[in-house]
Amino acid sequence: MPVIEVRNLHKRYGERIAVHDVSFEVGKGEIFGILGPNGAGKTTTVECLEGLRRPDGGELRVLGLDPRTDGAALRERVGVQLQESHLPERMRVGEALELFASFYRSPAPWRRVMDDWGLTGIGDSAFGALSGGQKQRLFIALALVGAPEVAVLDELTTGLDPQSRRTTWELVEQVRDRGVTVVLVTHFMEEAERLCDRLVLIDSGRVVAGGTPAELVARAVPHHVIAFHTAEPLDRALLAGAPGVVRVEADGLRTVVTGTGNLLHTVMSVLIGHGIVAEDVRLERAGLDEAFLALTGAGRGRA
Amino acid sequence: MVKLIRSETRLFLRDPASVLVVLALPVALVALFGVIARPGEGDAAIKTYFPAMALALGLAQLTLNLVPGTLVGYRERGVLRRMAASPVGPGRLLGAQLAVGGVLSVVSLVLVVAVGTLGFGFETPARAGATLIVFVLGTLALFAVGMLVAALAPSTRAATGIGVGVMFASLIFGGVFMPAENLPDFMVAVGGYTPLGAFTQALRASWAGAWPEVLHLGVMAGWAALCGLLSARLFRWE
Repeated sequence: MPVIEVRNLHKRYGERIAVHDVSFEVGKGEIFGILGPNGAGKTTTVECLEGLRRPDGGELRVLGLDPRTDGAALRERVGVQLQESHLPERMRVGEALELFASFYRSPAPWRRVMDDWGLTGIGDSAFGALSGGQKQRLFIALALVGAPEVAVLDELTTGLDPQSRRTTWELVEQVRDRGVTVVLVTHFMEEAERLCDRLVLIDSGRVVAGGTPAELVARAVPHHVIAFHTAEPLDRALLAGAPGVVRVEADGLRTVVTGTGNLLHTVMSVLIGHGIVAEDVRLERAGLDEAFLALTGAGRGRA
Repeated sequence: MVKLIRSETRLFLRDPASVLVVLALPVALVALFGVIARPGEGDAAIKTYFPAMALALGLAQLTLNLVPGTLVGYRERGVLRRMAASPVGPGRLLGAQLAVGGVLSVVSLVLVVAVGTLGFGFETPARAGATLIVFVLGTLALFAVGMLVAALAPSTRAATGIGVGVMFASLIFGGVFMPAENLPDFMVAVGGYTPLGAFTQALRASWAGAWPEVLHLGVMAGWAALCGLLSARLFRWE
């Protein structure tokens, strides 16, 4: 049974429709990504899951519970890191963790959580004195201090420097390794590609694509590019007819092949068949970045 | 809930300005006027005015200025939202704030009475039971007004502005800045219908040994009920 089921979720704020029609399922122990441009309806979707907002239509099940009616039971089992939230300025890191741990019937040992997230050294610092990255880590720790079965992390690494971002990713993987199902809201392609087992791409309140990151990329941007050098200029005709090859460009000793499918294997077979040695081979695969742009319409920007 | 109350208490105590205004100021006022006005030799008006004034001032600051400011700040900055996502819910945070406020009010009452009587010759309230009733009713009424301010104010700035405005109007009409004896009759009459005015006048009456006027008790109860209900209906969590 899936841990989270969303069917035809619909939510409007007055006249404005935030979520048109969103459906997906999240399996136990997955890191599931919800991707999309700003204003696509990602945050509204997860807020409905958390029971913070009442959906106007659709079916929702989280851990078998309906967020509309079982909100209290759900909040014991779902940890949340909100996109924008604060603590009182003068509250200290350790105090915040201890306080939030006390809200749950069977919390994680808060000192261990504090340690896991590298907060022990700043345990006595006031919230108001923390850097952006430290605040972010604290909020993630607060999401996990209740020992949740599901953790919803909204814009996990926004405002973090590249180093802390990588550290955070490793920690999220550790969280999952402990059996927690993670729902990750992000507009960061690198993050989704690195972390997510599966994801949905939401645009203007609708799901435009879903699957593993690799599937999404393959569907949206099927072409790969292979570039290499040869000792002598290459006859383009050798490769032009090979299966899956779309285009071959030669520029002196450098050749660039564009195509689909298992392109690398095809190109290498041809070259080896003719006894040609390719050097400095570079395979340029499209990433989720390109897929994202292709699927949501280019030029919208990814902020 | 106990941890939440402890946490809110800790946060309050870490704010020197709040501690100064709510706890230290009333005591300092009683001490100061205890030296200046010599209540041991003075008339009844002096004996009741200064302690009541000191308590009313501290309580007004707490309920009309600090509490609404804190709550609206919590709402504005997403603290209430974060609580809403935990099993505790934002309502408990409000409850904890009120609990802390209630305890502070009592502490301030005890301090003012203790310091005033032991150190400076003020008398203990002649009708302790009545004083306690007045104090509880007045605290409830003022908290209810403060909660209504918190419910209506769109931002922390607005909350502080409205709160301080209401507070000064109350202090003037309520016979806190000047004893009611020295105010024009119409101001005393109007003041009697404000929560702080009713509180101050009833507090002084009970301190002097009389039963407070039913009107004043009714006024406080009325404000408590009206503003309490309205704020409960109008309060927004985000």
